[in-house]
Amino acid sequence: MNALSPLTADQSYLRHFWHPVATVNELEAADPAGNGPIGRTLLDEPLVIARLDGKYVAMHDRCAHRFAKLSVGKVLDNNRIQCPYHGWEYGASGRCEHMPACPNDAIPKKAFTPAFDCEERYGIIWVRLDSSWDCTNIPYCEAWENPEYKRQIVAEPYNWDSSAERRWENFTDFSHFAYVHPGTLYDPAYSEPAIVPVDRVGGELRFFMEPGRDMLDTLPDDSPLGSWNYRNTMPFSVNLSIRLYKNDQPFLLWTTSSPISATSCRNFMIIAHTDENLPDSQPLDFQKIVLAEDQPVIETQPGPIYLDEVSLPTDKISNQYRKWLRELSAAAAKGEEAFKAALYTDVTESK
Amino acid sequence: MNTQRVKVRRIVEQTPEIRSFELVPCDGSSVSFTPGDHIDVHAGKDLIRQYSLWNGPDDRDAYQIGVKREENGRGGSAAMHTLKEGDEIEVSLPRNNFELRSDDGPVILIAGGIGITPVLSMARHLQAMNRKCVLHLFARSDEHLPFKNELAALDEVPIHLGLVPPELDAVLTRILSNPPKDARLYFCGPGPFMDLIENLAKTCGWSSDRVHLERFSVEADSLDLDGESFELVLQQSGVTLTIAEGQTIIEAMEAAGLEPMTSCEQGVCGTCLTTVLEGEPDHRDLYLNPAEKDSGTLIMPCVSRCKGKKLVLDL
Repeated sequence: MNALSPLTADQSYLRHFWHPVATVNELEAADPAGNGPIGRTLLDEPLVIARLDGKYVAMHDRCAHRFAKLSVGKVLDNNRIQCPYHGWEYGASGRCEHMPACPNDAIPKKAFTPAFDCEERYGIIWVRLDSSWDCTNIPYCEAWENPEYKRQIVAEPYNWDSSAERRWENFTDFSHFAYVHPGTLYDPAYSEPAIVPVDRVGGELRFFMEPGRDMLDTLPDDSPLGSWNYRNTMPFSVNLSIRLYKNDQPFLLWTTSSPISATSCRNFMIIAHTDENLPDSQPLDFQKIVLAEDQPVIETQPGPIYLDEVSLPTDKISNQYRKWLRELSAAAAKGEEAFKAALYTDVTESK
Repeated sequence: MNTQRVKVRRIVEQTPEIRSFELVPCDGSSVSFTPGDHIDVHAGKDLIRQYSLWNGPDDRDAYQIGVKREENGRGGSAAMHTLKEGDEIEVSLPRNNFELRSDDGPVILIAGGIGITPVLSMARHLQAMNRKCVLHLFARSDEHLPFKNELAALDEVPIHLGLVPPELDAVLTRILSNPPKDARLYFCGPGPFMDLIENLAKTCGWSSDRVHLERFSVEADSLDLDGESFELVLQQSGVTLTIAEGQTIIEAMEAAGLEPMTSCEQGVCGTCLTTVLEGEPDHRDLYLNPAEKDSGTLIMPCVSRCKGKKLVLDL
């Protein structure tokens, strides 16, 4: 068998985007003060995440001294991360500010660990590894924008042995509903998916679809059947805004996959709805069922996407998503202007 | 390709989703067809859709088609639903992939939803020939039942409304059980419905040469690979090939012993994306966007061709 051809030769373009790394809840679970530190991996880069002086920081998770992980150290005085091995202390910029073994010596210039852009939004901590072009935004999420929503749930993140690309495609794949989620999300009688217009607007891949209303009769009440409106910030975010058929209320399923490596991902989810009396466990448990149906299948796929995969016209969303990833990767290799053009040139197909 | 101009003479709202159209040749000629025929309808620029004829044997002055509006389709059915009586459009001559065999045994016809159109034509013909035939029609509800007038004129049309598995399987099994040796089965409808009937027919002992079907799918652009011969220069390989009429660039390259990167064979996946160095591409794919197509610098060689006599590619 011939060697497979990957969709993108160079994955470094992903470093220019904001990716989620942890929830604020996770930081609080690690440390009652909510300062961390905790260790996470993004695009093979080990990171230490902490809150210093009330601001979230992300740094390469390695003390410059003997390369121990800062994430197993602690936060001192709310403003420094201390290495667990010899007590070197780092400030928010990543510079070492104190070496307890020789406190009066000059601190070497190389005694630092690289710090990255880090922000909190939606109860989630976001990191951008390469901010040299500074042209990307934290992905769109409708949960706090639409005043109809009375409850926003930031779910506990979950890891999959799958790439972020595969996770994104799985979430937006219309053809698998009838096979992987019969009776949960879909009626097997609707196995031929609609082929819908797909637009690129402001760095988002947008599309809309209305699954058959008849399915209301056969699907469980928690199934979010309705008109499905997707606004997906590239590369790994999905904002699925649903108008439920059963009560004409909005329901939001938002997910963003964070690439740990080419073969593993950590997934963040926000659910927003209008029912103040609904216990959080109810929509969360339903999503757990859906995820348990997907995960064992998706984890059998290789992480990278290959050009050798055989696509159908009904795979339009995946085909057009892949097209955009390929263009972004190629454009990033050419430089800043090409990358901005590839990301922000709108292409609209729908009227 | 042979097309003819037709005028929309009459539009009938069959159901909330289905409209029927009577299309009369503008040159006043009569129409000739066989049951199971379909025509290509040019519903708009680059929107060619195939619709089966439901004509009876005496409907010789117009093509009769039925179009279900697919809300999430690619615009073909939506464009058809904007047509008004008096409009003129282009259609192809009828073609048949779903032929009614001319033997004398009993016939079972089964249709799901808009899949009724070809089998309705068959039933009308069989009845006119006094041949034994039953048409089973499956629809979601009475409101979704098209062609009520035409169905009323048939002798035997059991109607099955709102059935889902397992009741659907049970009813179909009853219809398909104990087939007479000389019987034939014809059916048309949405994909899963077709799969179910195909499997049940096998289980019920139908031999495959007596089972005939036409897959009726959610509207998809029909892929047109026709086109004239042209010369293809592959710059990197230093090879010149002649692409024959109807042959694709990829096919010609493979025939010449080359191994181009290719996958889907229908212009959707992007694997064979290639830079055009010279010549005007004739795009047939669904991958490139309009601006990319207009630029003339990119081509999907698994389906696309050349508008002139010569095309030079960076391959």
